[in-house]
Amino acid sequence: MSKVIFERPRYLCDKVTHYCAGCTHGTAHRLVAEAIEHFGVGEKAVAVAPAGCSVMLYKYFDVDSVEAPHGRALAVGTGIKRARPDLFVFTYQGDGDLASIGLCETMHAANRGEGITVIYVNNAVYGMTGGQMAPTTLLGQRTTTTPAGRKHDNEGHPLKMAEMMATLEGVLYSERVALYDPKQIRRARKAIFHAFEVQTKHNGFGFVEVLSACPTNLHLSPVQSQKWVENEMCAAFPLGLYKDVTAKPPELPAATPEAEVNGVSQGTCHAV
Amino acid sequence: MLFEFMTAGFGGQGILYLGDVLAGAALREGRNATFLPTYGAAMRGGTANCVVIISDKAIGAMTLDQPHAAVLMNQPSFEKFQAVLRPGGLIVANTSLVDPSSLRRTDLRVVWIPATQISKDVVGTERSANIVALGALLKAEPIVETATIEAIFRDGATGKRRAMLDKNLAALRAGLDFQD
Amino acid sequence: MGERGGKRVLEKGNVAMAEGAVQAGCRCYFGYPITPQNEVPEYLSKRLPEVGGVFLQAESEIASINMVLGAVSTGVRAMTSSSSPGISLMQEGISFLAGSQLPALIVNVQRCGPGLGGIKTTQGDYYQATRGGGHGDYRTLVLAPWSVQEMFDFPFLAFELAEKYRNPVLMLPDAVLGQMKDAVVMTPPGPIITYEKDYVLDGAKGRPARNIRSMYLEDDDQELLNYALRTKYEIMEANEQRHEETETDDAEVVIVAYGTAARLALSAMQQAREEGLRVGLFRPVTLWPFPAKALRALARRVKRFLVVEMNLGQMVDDVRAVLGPEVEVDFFGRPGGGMPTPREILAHLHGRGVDKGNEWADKVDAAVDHYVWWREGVLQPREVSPVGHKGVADE
Repeated sequence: MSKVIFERPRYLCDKVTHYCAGCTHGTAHRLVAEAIEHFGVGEKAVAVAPAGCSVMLYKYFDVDSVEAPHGRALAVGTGIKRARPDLFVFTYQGDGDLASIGLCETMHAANRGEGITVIYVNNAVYGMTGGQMAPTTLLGQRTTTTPAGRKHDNEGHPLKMAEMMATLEGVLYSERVALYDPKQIRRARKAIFHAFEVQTKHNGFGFVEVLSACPTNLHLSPVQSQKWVENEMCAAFPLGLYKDVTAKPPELPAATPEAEVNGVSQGTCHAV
Repeated sequence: MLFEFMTAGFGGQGILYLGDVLAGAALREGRNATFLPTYGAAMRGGTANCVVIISDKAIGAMTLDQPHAAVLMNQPSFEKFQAVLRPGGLIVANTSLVDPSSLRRTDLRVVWIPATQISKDVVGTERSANIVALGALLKAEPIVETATIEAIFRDGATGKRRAMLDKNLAALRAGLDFQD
Repeated sequence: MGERGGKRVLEKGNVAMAEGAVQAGCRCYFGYPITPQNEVPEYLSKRLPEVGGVFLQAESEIASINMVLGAVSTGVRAMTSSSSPGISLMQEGISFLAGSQLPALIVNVQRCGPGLGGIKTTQGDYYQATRGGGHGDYRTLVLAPWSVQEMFDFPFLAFELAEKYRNPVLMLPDAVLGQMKDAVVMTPPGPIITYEKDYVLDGAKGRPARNIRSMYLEDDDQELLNYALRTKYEIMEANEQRHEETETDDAEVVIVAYGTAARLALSAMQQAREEGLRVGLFRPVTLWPFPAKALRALARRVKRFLVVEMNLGQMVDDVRAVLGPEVEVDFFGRPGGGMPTPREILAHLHGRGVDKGNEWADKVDAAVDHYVWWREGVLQPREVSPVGHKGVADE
């Protein structure tokens, strides 16, 4: 008699994603879908999609969703949450969307303490548009718009959002996690679950920065790109809890087996 | 009958309130009235002015062509706006702040009234100078009934404004009783 | 100007509009302060909580319009208001509302530009309002009130049309209509008309998940969406042209004007009639769709039109396009905070044009010399060698 120990979460659609091979959006999607199911919010959730690689997340999440103009996900989310406080609202945004063009909306929604959960996927590069500099591009990192590497005296420094969020009174929870190995994925899962609980339990603003790999635009293999996140990104963006003013983290169900969490993504990258 | 009116003075002299009360009174008497204030940055510091149009017919322009009457509460307003009145038009000039020798027109009726001083004398502060001037205007040109103005004061005298009612009534009466 | 039951009161256009919106069922307002429309957020910050509604001062106009987008996604009636520079900032969001087919009310209490401009009145945003305003092939329905009564009434119509067509609706008053007080009856002009909303995001309970978006990457989807939207706009053009005519029956000359300019034109018309000139007024109430059918019908018997605007000439293009070259269409407008006076309009009706005297002409000449002193012939072109390929100077 065999026992099912790993299956697709209820709110993750049975679809092949458009994400590139080795991209960790798929992993992040899965963790979010698990949280939707765990907290029973699938029938009252509204996802706000950014402009960026995850613009088509409506294809992958079996919940209501709306596509925000570039950077405005947290303004759109604010409108939804204010109009319908009973709904569960989460945004899923990349570094360009949340930390560059949408920084103003991000800071103000956080400062107001909107009851919104933010999944912030930081991969240090603009993926969808084809590898340009992001606000989080590392110093020295080559991109298509920093061909000689990012220099602080010209492009400034990588923006540390998890740290910035922690300084705002309205933010109840801010943590930075990564997905480069199963241990980190488990931590990320715990953080995403907690960010969900910050909304379901405290109607508060929960922020999870997820360091993610973009092998296509890093011009690295999937394995190498995970190493790059671990060694290079984590040096610039230290992992850890930056703020939590809620009660202790939630009790989690049994962890997902390590080996099968990764590698959800397949397909090719769309440069738009 | 179309009646064009304007009032001008320093911000804080109750210029907009004067226009608002006059337009409101015309409306209560079943006529049409519009009130167009200066707004925004012009409210702070510089001069304030407003335009009131009263008519028995539908009002088109809410702006001035040639006003029939003006209440001018300070010197800059007096110098600037005496030029726009129609021949034979009426000015109520606040001589507490206006120098009568600066009148250049010879074809106007002018009521010279020390409205600010009268306000101080009657209600104890300068704040009702606008209402004193309104009284003088109604005496010279009874555009609306005095009773209508008094009714507006009474209806508006709720809460914190209740204390203003007697002052407004006294100031209006002082303006009406003033002998030029 | 209102004939319905209820007390006539003297109220500001901005306040009447805000109260009208609340009575029309608006329950969410998001906005950012800008003169001359600040009475709207100030009033609604007190009023909306009384009816269980939401008032939120946003961090910018960009945030405001996107909060509206989020709110209307849940099916509520939501709005924002601003003035010209702020409306420019909202254009991306308005385009998203149009592309996502969402209903919303946006009120532009116009102030003069370009740039930061000033706080004086204008009708300078006609083109922006009637041509979509943001990127992409789309239209917004545009209502142009001319009285405080219509400031109060039009939110009812605006929300109805927005929901009927799932499209953003603009109200386009100007600073004067926002700031002036006028007689108004603030009771509903009729019942609230609403339509079924099968796009509402309220959690996928007992139904498939929904998605609201304006991005269509696959195959010909985006082109096909545009054709579908075109059909919607054609229906709007067929059904929603609104206008008002005053004394056009015997008119030899008809003034075409909307909003505050129409009020000024009405006074000019009244004066002209006293002088024996047979003048009428044609007032577009919807600026898009432009009331072309009625204007064309009027041109069967009227051969001379005078377009009056508070700008350098924008709606006049639509009038000329509708009437064609056979009909005489004159224009008189004043831009940048200037308001045409009834006297000036009357002079144009007499065919005299405006003689504002040498003093004004001298001022205009002086302004040209000051602001564009460098115009043709003054500055000589200068040759500079371009940088060659790979950054090597082309010697």
